Amino acid sequence: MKRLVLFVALFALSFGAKAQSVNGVILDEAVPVTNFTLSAQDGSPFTSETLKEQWTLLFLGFTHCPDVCPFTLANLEAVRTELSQLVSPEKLPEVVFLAVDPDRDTAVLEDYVKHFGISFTGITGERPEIDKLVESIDGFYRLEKSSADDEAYDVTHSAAVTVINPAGEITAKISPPFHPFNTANYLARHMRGLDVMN
Amino acid sequence: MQQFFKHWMAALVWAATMLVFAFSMAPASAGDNHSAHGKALSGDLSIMAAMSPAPAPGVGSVAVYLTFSNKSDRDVQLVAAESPAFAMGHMHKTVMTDGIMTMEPVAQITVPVGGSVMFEPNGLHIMLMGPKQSFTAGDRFPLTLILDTGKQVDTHVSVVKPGEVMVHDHGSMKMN
Repeated sequence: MKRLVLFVALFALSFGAKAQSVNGVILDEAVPVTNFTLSAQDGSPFTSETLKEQWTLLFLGFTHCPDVCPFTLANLEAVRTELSQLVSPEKLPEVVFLAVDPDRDTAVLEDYVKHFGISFTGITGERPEIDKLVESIDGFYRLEKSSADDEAYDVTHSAAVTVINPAGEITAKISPPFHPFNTANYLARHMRGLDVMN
Repeated sequence: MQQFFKHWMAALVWAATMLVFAFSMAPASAGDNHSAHGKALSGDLSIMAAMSPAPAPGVGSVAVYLTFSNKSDRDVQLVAAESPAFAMGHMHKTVMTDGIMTMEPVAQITVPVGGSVMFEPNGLHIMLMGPKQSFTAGDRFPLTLILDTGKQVDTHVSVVKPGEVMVHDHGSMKMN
């Protein structure tokens, strides 16, 4: 019996420890996103102003990414589902996918983002405008083209999700793995202004 | 606490589902016999739970995740992957360095005697490019892994909805 109690206690402890394991960094001071002008998947303008009025989870990637981007976007949809039970609808963050490979991304962006979440927004545009936003979120990407006619190239890119508040300011960054339940709890506390435990 | 039980139950249900799923997939047996799928397991090399998230329309590359087990009497080397449903196949590894994700081609993977290798999101995966048809969740397509000896191991990949592929937890849930 003693062993059983110990087992259960250990198990509960290990679960408790796991429930808080989110690779997140909360910024000491929120940083406004710089001005940029891109387009959403339906062609409508998407600027730093569009980021205001709601919380946003911004992820940088490319549509031909076979592993990381689909996995992250599927997880972000699951995070939203979990969060919908923890926060009021107006606090539910929008998921925005910044597509950094417009030559291949633009034509398929609408189908791509809706494939993962019906409410998701995909944004892309001119290279200098993409770069403004990438720099502003302290992100990184590089097209790994081996030649001018290489069409199966990979894109090296930063893996973090940037958390942006309704004032259009960066408040946190979360790195993989984006475990839906843990990440939702982390975000719910963060959005309420409570301390979060990593 | 209610949340705890809810999620714990969800995890249990998921685990049970995955078990049923794993057992329902006929393990592919190794050998030169290409019709090995569905036959009695010869006991040596097997592929379990091969799955691929359905790609978004217009996207020409997919990742396949699976577990390859080696119950033969020697180490084996995986050197290639191919599918008649795609133009090309490669073994890849996603590597994260200082928060930057890079994909690296993997030329050879050693699977030791009695061991297994897991291909899973954000790690090793098989990347297939140039689909010859479109795929949606519920579809299946054949996949062959090739050893350095030329031996082939066949399986069928189940196309699943995005989000139905989970990463195995290597962390604190392990009690042993």
